[in-house]
Amino acid sequence: MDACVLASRAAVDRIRRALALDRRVIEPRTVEGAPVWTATNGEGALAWSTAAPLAGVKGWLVPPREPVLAWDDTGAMRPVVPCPERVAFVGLRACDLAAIAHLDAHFGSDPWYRARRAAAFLVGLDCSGACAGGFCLEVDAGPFARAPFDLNLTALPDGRVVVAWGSAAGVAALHGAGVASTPVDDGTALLLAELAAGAAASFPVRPYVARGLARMNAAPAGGAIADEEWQAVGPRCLACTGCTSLCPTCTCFTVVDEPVGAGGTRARIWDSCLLEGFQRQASGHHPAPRPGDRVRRFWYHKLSRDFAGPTGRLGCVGCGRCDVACPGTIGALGVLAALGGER
Amino acid sequence: MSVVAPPDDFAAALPHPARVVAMHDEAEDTRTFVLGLATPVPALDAARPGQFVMLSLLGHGEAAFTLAHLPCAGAAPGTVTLTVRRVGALTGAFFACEVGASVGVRGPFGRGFPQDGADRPTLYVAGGCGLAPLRSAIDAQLRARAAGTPVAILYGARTPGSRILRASLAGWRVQPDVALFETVEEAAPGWHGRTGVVTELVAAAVAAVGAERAALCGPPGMLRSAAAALAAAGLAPGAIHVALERYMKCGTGLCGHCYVNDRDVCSDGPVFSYGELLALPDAFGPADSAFG
Repeated sequence: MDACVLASRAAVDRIRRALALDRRVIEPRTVEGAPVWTATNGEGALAWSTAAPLAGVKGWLVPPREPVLAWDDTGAMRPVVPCPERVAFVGLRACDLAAIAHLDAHFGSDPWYRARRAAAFLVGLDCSGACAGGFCLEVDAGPFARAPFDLNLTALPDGRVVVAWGSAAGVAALHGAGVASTPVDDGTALLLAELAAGAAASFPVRPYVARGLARMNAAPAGGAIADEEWQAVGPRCLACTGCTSLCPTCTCFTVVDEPVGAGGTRARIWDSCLLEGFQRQASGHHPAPRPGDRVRRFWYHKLSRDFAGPTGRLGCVGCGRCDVACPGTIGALGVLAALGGER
Repeated sequence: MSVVAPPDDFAAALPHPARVVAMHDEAEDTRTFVLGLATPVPALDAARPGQFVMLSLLGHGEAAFTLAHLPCAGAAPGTVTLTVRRVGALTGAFFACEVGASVGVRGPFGRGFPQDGADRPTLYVAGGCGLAPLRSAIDAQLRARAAGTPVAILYGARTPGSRILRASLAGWRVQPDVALFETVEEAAPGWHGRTGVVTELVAAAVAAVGAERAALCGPPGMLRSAAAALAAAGLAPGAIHVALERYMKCGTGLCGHCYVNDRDVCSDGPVFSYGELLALPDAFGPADSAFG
């Protein structure tokens, strides 16, 4: 066991307050009965058992509206360079960190994303078991966190905390908070392994997930699933875009010009591939004219290993938000249940 | 991901300022625009046939257009030539521009047609406005080929009035070792050429020049059937290159609009070999699509 130390919960709170000296610390707190990412200034104790908020942190890293260009009344153009606030997200669950790895891979060449991402300090918090509707285990995204985090917290039953670091900034934060370097001993390492195994064992048995993923990944691409199946599922999508808005790995955007007087701004706006016009071409050609075509394309993007990217993991991180958002029954588990013959 | 992007990275993402320096109508609703860049852009001068740019009209947005004429095919450096059909809001605004109007250009983007093979007998198959992206590929080969290398051009238009690039067609018709096949779907008074679809002429065109490779651009249904006809005529799938068209918002593989299965048309294409497309079931859209 390396790259981590043992600390107390009080030491973790010192880290949070130290981070708050030059960043806005944002943590899950229960607001009107629901967990919400909340600016806390690092005050009070960490809310260890607060569940992951329904909205992730995607909106900080990829804002719903990102101005990229402005022009004036002479037609002269200039880039809109973001000045992101320095933030520390404390309490990111494994699924959200896996999603940020996905965003990093997708937007790694994009200066707007890189500016926002560089301003964000990430503190993970391992899950002690399955959450309602979560299936991170089945898609290799949790419940224990992997990179990218600056620090990651694993709460032990005896009140101690294993603090892992994943970056130089994470190490600096530990030093800044004066957290003593107490190495993790073999006994604690064994306890961590037991915790991980216990967390994994807490997930419901859902064999249809593996069956659905297997069908989704059978060669040729999507060939194991007949078009009729997708066309049957398609009308269950209302194109409300709730799933794509909440999905922490959805990255699609459109670009709009917003004239103001003789000048204006060009901005990226979140878009959704489930909308009918997403791929419709001016010529009239539509690569995905039927709802079933669009639903298939969306879930192929999330559940096919063709999109695994450099992390080797699927585009779906098993957070279950789409199942909560869907007014119908075709969130990820709903679709996997259909593909896996569960319903 | 800890490195903050330097300011130059943001500036590099801006469109290059340009002005409309010339334009002429090609056909019903189709016009060729020549844009003059405000400052030299070496990457645009070095662009290859099949690559595209994002045309920017401030207040109206951006849209993707394949470069229709290039320095490697004889165009003047510092210019960008686009042949555009008026079909939507942005193209409507472009058509309303007059000579001198300010526009912007980002690019070039994407993978164009293969750069080698100018000495191999080649068949170009174009449908409708799909002739525009092939124009520079044809002209570049005609400039680079060894004497006697046969080239065939197969062009299908909806009607005689919708034929574009008539000056280029007339020039190709009189070039040595160039066989030009034209057809229209609906004849009109005064049309004495063929009537039908290009697919029906593929086998004859391949035989006429002993084509070893082919380049295609046009409507998806035409691409699907013409590529299959070329393969049936004996061309290897890897020697058939198809330029796909998709709606695009960024040109750089980020916005998601143009993805076909696990490939982005903007950055992995827009030119794909037929061998690659056979592994992409969504390449031409649903077979029974009303717009296929």
